[in-house]
Amino acid sequence: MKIKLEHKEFYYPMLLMTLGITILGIAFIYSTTHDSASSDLFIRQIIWMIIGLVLIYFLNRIDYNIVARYSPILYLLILGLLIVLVAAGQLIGGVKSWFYFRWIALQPSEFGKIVFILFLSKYVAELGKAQLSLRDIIKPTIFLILPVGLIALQPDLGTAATYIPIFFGIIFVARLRLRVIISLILLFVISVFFSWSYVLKPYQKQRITTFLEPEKHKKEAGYQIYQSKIAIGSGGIWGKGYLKGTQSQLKFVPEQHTDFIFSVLAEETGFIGVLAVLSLYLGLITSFITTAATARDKLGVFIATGFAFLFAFHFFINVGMVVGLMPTTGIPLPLFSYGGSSLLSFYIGIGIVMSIRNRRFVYL
Amino acid sequence: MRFKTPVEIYQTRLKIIKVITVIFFIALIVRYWQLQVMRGPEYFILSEQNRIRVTTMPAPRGLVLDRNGVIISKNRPAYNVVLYRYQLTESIKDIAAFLNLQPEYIKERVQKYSNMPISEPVVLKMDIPFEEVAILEPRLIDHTNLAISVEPIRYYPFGDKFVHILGYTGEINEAEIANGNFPDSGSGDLIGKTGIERKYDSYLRGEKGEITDVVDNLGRKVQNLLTKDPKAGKSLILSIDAEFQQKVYEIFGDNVGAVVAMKPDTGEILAMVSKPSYDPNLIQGHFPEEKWKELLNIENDPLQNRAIQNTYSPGSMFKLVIALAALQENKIDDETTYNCTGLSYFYRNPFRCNKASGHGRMDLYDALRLSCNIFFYNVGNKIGIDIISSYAKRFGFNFRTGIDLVEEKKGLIPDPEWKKTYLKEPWYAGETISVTIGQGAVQITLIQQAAFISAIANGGRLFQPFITKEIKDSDGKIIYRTQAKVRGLLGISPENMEKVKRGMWGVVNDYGTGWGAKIFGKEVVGKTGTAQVIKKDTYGDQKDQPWEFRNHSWFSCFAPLDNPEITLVILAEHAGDGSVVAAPLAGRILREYFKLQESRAKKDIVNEN
Repeated sequence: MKIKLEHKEFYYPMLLMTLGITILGIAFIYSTTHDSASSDLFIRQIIWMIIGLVLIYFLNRIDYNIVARYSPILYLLILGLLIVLVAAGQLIGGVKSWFYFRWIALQPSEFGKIVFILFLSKYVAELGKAQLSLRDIIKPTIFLILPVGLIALQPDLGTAATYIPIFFGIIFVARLRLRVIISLILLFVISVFFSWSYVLKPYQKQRITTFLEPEKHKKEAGYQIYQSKIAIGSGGIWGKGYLKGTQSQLKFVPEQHTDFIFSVLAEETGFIGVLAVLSLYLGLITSFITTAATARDKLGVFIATGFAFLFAFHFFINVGMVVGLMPTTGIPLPLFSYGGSSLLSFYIGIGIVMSIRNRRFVYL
Repeated sequence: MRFKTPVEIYQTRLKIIKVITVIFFIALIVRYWQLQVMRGPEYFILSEQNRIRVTTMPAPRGLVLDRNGVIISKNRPAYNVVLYRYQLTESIKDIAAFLNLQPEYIKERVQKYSNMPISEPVVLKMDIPFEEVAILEPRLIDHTNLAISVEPIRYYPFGDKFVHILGYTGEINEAEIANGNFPDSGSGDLIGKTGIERKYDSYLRGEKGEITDVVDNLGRKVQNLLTKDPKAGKSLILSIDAEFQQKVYEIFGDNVGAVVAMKPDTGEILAMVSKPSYDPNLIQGHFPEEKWKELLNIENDPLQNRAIQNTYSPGSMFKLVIALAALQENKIDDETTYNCTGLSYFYRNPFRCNKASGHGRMDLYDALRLSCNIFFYNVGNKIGIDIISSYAKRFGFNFRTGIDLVEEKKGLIPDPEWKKTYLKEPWYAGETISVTIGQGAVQITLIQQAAFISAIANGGRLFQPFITKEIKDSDGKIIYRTQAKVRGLLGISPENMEKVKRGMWGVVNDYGTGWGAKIFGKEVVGKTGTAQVIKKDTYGDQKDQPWEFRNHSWFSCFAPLDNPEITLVILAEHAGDGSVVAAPLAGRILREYFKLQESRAKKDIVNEN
């Protein structure tokens, strides 16, 4: 027996957790930039949030099957944009990642993640198999390598890496055979050794060695992690108070409104604040997985799973990075870090996941 | 009732993912617990150090004034280029190019101060001229690690005239940091190196100020938290008479040697000159090395204060010791005479007099007046070395006087016990004969002689000489006043003292060896000395000898006889006989002294009227 749902309804817990994290993020973007030249960044983030909410409103009402229908075209469009960037992009900060339109900068690789989720989910769902064999993942692998390769050429390895968990998440849940999984893990280990020896550039290697021995690189590249750890540790249990974090306010913490924004939160609100925000993220990520588990069809399962993996990967890498558990990569904290493209792409993803939730089976 | 859904088959794997997610969260929480709760206090200290920079401000040293309030040591600002070492924003090479220095030099400097707190800057360029400050200052905005600091350094308005009294200041060295004599000074600080600056460093130094700033990660000041102003050091009032000291310095001219002038009834030093001298203003501050080398290259060691840090044979001045000892021991009296033929044999060795043809029959008065050796050989031989050395020691020789300067020497009064201990040889009777005329192993300092002559002048009290009369704090309140301190008594009866004084009067006023010191209107009482530098068999003309083999010229005296105001001891190295050089110098110096006193007295009368 199927219960008809009112598709216009919002899944409020997810929406409120999303909004809560975004607003906290804006508060800490303000904290880190209020006395700098770019003190209006938090206003921009508010605008992006409002745009994001509008997108959620519409995506929530539209059936995700309809959205997924356009995914092959969107996938090709993203690939095209990435080729244009690599061929003729503007080099900003050593990478060609952005398109500039007046005052906004758009990053195709960010939106590409959502498109990749939709496209891969659609493909795997349409295979119609109860289990995936090695042969079934040949094409998905090509779908993965194309954008990842292009983004890696920008070169933006951090963003490129975020596509990989989407791929593995979806094929794992789509019941890839166990022996294939084991062989893939072996293949991964071998390729890591290979790329360490032949592919990675010295600065990329340095990031990894820095991650492995931060104390040793205290004065050089490990400086960021070292200062970030001081910031977090010095916050103690209760924190130093909003706008009162010395490490952040005196700019000891690097990249503090983007990649290291969580350090600022940890310094100013302490372990209590960290626990609260971690709980919000845990709630959000479990709600994505629950959405997958209760989806109406395979497509819904895969899209929600892919997005949950994308979101969780960003989250764990970022929050682990600022305490030295993960290597330093340019991966932002989802919904929290400053960045329009990132925020919008996560809002789009959440909109689609909410649409899946809205059309779920209800067990009685 | 439960429907089997099309997605039922995926539940297991989704559950696995959920479990892994929760495990990851627990790992994160544990990590943040470790950092924030367990190690929180430790990181908090690190973050405080990160943001707070304490800069110290050197305190101006206390002034040094003479007895009449003339400033003889003060401070002036020196502009230094300093380097803040943490978080360098540019390479050593760029800094070197900007400051026109060698990169190796900067590395050397930084290395030298590696144990100084990182927040303390390293001085790269010292005491730059103001024109250079004007050029550098506006360009420092691009060089955030560099700054121009103002540091008070010493300025000695009288240059080389007071240096052996005052000493000078310089950067503390590693040995001085290690030996704990300067507990409040650290790497890079200026301290007193010698003289009064060294002796009274703890008073003169003052208290450093501290600026506590909040800084950002580039070391830029964001806000001032606390400023503790430096406290100026305490001032010293010396017993030195600056005007007189300068006169003495001029009169002593190019002679090598020293002059000490003392108040006989207190032990206050009025003047102390040692030559050659040097200008302490040239070796101020942080980089004296090159200047040092120049100084050391000057002949005759100008760094040495010859009044206290060098010892000499007293020559005939030592006859005063023999005379007093023999009189007090009743070995001689007014009737005692010896015949001087110019040569006498003692223990089968010939001993000569300073007059080859002989003085004839001599009593104590004439023997002192003419400085007859033969008389004193006989007297000394009669009383023996043990009596001589015990009296000499009672008169303050063989011991430091305790003057408030550093590195005072104690000289030597030899006796058989000393010789056995240090030279492992027995005492030969002939040595006693040499000792009676102040030769042989006898070594004294000028300051010892000045204290001894003062004791004769004041009736037998041996004072501890001193230079610092008063110490005042920065409000002008006197916190310390030196009291005249009697170190000992000569222990000579007044009658015997009179007899020696009479002889000393004769030296100057009765055609004696010290006639050159005679001045009009004041009775000068003294004794010459001529110290042989090497043992010679013949008494050839001193002018024929190479300079370094010529005799040292001594004269010590007090004046006037009845109411002594000043004791004067002069030594001119290799200048010849005491009567020829030192005594006439004493006359000129005493004349200046009394002239000065008179003109001041007149001025006082005018002021009173």
